[in-house]
Amino acid sequence: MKKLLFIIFPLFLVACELTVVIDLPEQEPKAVINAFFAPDSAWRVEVVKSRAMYDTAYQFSPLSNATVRILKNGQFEQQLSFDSNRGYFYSNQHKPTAGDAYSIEVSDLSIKDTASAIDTIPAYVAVNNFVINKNISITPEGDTLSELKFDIDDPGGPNYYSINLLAYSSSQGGGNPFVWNLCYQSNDPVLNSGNNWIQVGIGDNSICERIYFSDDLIDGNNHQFSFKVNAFDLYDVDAIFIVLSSISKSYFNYSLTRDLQINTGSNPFAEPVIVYNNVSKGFGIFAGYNIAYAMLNL
Amino acid sequence: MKQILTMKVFQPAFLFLFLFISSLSQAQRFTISGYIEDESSGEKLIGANVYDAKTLNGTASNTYGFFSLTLPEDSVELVISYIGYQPYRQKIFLNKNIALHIRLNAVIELNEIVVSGNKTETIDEKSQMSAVKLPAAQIKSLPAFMGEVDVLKVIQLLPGVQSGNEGSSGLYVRGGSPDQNLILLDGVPVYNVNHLFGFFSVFNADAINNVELIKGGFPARYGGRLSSVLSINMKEGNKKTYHGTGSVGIIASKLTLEGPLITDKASFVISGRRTYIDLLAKPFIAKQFPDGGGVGYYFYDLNGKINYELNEKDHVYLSAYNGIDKFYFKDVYRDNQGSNIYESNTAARLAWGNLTGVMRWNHQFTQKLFSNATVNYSKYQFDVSVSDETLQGILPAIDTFSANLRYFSGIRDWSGKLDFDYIPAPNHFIKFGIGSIWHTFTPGAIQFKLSNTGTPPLDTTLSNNKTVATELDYYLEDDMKIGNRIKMNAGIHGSAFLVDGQNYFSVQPRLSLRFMIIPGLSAKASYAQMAQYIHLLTNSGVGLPTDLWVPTTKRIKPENSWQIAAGLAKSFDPDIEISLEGYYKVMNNIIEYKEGSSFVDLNGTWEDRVTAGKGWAYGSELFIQKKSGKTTGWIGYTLSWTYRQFADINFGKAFPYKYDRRHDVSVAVMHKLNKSWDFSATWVYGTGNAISLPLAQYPSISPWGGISPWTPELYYYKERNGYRMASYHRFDFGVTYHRETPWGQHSLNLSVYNAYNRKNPFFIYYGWDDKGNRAFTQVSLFPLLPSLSYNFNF
Repeated sequence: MKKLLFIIFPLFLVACELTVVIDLPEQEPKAVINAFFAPDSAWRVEVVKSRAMYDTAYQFSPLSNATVRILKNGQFEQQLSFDSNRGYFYSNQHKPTAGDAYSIEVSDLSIKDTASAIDTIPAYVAVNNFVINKNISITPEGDTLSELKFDIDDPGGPNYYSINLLAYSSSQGGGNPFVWNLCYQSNDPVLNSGNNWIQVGIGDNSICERIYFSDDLIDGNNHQFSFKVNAFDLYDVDAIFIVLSSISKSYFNYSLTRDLQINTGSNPFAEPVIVYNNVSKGFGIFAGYNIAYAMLNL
Repeated sequence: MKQILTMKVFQPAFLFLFLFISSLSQAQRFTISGYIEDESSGEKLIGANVYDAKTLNGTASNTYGFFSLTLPEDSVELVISYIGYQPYRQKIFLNKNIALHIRLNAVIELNEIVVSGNKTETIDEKSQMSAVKLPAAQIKSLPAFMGEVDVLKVIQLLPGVQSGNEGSSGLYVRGGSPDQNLILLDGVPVYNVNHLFGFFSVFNADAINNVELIKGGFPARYGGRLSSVLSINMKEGNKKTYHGTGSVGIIASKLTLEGPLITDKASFVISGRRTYIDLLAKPFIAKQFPDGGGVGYYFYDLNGKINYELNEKDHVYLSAYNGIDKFYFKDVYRDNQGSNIYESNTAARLAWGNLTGVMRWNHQFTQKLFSNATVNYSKYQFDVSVSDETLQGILPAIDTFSANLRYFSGIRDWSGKLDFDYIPAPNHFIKFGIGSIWHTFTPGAIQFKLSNTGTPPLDTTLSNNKTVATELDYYLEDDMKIGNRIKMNAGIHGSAFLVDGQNYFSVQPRLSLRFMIIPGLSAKASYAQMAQYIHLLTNSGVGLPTDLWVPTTKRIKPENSWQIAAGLAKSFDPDIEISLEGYYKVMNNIIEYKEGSSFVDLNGTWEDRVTAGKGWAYGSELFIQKKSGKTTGWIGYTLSWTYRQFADINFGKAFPYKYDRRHDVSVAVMHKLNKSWDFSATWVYGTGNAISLPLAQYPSISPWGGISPWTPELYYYKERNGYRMASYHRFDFGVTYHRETPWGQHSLNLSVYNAYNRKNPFFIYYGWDDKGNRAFTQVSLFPLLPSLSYNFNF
């Protein structure tokens, strides 16, 4: 109560707050398409109906009777069926391939417009020369650091990536195999390039999650990355993985803005973030990626 | 390097000076010069007209009351007039240079402005466009808000000026942002003009002499900001007798004292204002804090000025301002049981304020050449701290834990400048000068201190990136009449900014032209380029003290703009003026926080959190003003469009600026019924502010393509600032009763803010209503608010 007084005291001085519930024009429901697709992977597409802002339903309604068509390079390839066990549209046929343009069209009787989107799976980019140099330095706080190095050959033209570092342990999960994101430090500016919304990986900040970057600084060249990990974090780790996804521009824009909107939603000082949307006459994301990884047994 | 810098900066100025001086023709001419002041107080009169009634050749007094009129040898019927004063007339046979010290007698009663019937320079005659001057008396006669008449809120009633949020003192001039206004208090820039989150400005109306706003067609003497110049001059103090002015309002009281230090030679004025809600609320708040502590808020302002006339040719002025806002909270909790001790002290403090000081020396070199040398200091600091101290244990072994978190930011300037007025001939006014500002920026530092019994203390400061920069500028300005129809103000303003080994230069041409179509009706046009080397990073339009002043750096380029304006000006008798202007303004390198960033981010520096882009604004303004008589006031209408575009915001697409306001109307009327009663009223209307509101919700997809009911929902926004809040309109009125007693003059003012109780939108949030439904709720701040204030002067 007392601390609340500190907050409300200034308003008390000048304001008699009046609140009025206002009516906004209802946005008519649209189809939401959510799908990331990779080469040689099954199609998994979530198709639901968007909700009005006044809607209080706990979950989104799946459009299980919708017609979901996949086109490859403009030619019809297959119609996906709703898998009631999985809760989304699924097909293990006609798996996607890199370099081809895939389109999706979703129509449903309860939705006025047919929603559609198009994207291409980018080329595979391998993770090369993944090595570890153990115990290379000691921090002022007394932590011992090990260095992980690997390189990639960036194809020419604009490319986008996501990267994360995983640890695998057969013993840390109470006897069950256990995988988790391993934290690391890096001052590589490439990790921030093209990322106009957030700053990560500068100086001593630890990165413990998947991050997204563009090839603005390494376009068409080989680039070696260096990550430093706390040797203590490698205790009982059997193997570590670098997971590099070559992602489409739509994937990149969506991922950054999605994370920003979710993370800043509660900050009253931040302007709302508009999430990237590549679905015409609908919402969501339909984007391709191509995953590569390298493993190092410890 | 230094030589190149000097050449780059000053070369255009020398060229300009040469052209103008060589164009001056010399004949057998003599000069009448001197100062014009108020007979009763000795206050200098700014902008008084001085002319020869036979030829209508004339000039006007400058900011220091100095004038110079050079005429051919002949008989002259000298007339000196100033609105609200009896004109001075003298027949002179001009065959030598003459120095005069003119004192004009006021013919106004309290707050009454009567028709002078004398020739004054009307709007159609001036080369300056997009400018409005308001005397303090007019400002003070408008309706008060909570007993306080606010200078900036009166400025918001002028066309081309948007007010931002409800109650805010922020000025958004022709699509610009508040940091693009050069706000000068006695010539010194004031950085944060807000008290109480912008509901009041720092300017005490009792200490002010006059106010001038320039929105476009900037004369070359001004620079450093893109959108406007707001020049506020403080009173100088009565040189003859001692006087006092004061008021008692519902949230603040103020007192101004002025008088001679040496009769007719030196005077002082000192003015103070303080809120006292914290003192009145103290007994009630104390009950909430039985173990000690409390919560409160206050702000105060102190203005002081001394002016000393050393001799006929030299005047010295010293003025200072200090204003502080402070919130404080302290809570003490004790739970001591015998030798078991537990005591907790929590404190929080939020303080911000300005300190300015200026010393000016006026010197009259010749009857045609006048100079002003200025040295000034300006400091703004914001400081917030939270501390917690806990004592715990069994006597005598008590453990102490203390933590202190402090966030501070600020800007400090030392500056010096030298200005010259050269008046070679009637209707010819040359100004030139140089100046330099030494800035020190502290754009947001965080200090964290921790101590705990038995462990080493921690004392660390983050983001303390102090930046020192030097700003240099020069200008040359020539205001001249060419024939009977054309008047021109041409000039050049040059500037340089030196920071972190990086030098930026800018040469900014300025031109204002007036063409007299027929007597009383003129066409005007202007072009102005401006540069700005400091930026304000703000997350809201509320005028929060958390807004950071940051410099141009190697990464962040200077802001620059160009503006063209054209219009018509017409004056009618008795003193009704109408202007219609159109403008187009482009602003480059303006900065904003990137999407999702704010001042509270600790990652990286402020430069990492901002993005640069551009803005543009265009529109038209109609201003009808009645300046004298029993009924005075104005009607202003603005039709405008304002946009912003940043590569990293809204996916690079242009979007409406938050204060893009299609229609903006303001009406201000003041009427003096008789000696005892006067009335005033204002009505404002504005298109609703542009904000971002979500229109739909949909599920997200996890980074690995995982689809589940538990992935967070996303909100769909059509575009940045794609929704318009409800329009804003409000009617205020005030009634003042005046009474004169042998002791002095008294007045009682009743003002009603938002008289028809319009629920104007302040902000809209998405949440839950009383019945548990999802809802958008509009929050309004001020309902109908009556206020009473008692004013006196003696």
